[in-house]
Amino acid sequence: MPLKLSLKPGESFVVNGAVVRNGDRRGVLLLENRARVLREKDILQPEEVDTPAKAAYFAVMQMYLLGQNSGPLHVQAQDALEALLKTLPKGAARDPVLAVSAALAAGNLYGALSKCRKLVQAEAVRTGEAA
Amino acid sequence: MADGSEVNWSSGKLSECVSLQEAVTRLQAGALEPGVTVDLGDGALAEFKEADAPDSFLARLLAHARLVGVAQTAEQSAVRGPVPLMVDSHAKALLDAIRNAR
Repeated sequence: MPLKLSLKPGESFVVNGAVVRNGDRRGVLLLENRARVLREKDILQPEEVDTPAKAAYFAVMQMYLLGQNSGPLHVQAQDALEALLKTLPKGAARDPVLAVSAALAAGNLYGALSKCRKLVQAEAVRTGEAA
Repeated sequence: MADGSEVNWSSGKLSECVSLQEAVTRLQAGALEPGVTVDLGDGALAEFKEADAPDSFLARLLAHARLVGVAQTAEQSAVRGPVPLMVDSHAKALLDAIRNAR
């Protein structure tokens, strides 16, 4: 089943390492096979990383963008997850962080990134910051 | 099964499911077969695929096992300063292209 992308005018996204930008009208794209796709709104720039959850998201996002499930980026992601985990109380509150780590262990980068996005949203709620 | 593994039918095909510890032991011995599924706990599974390099799969499993240990033992602590950030050069080129496209 194809992935349908509805794009705003000028909206960018990354597909398998290529940065693509929509023209000046709304557009719809159908991706007919599995690919690493990330929309502009889900891309975090380094200067936007100011919390432990965002650091973890940034590390996993790089892995996803580059399709690398091991190596230095994975080490960085695990370090960032550990730093985030230590900000949370022991017990169930730490489970979502471990779920990201489990997805990384399984090589499921898309799943890891999706779970990481929820960590950022949960962190924003905890700290009273708008997600 | 006697070695701590079990049969997993969840994917609709017969595959062996082993504990994380058993998978690490087999990987270190070079004896983990592709297709074997690893139980990571809390319902999470990792399949050792043909395309997986044993060393990197082992590294991923060990990293997860380590984090599980930290989760069980580390006390909660306040954030101290910014988290060190590494930006891969290829990722940086992508991020710059996105920024410039804005």
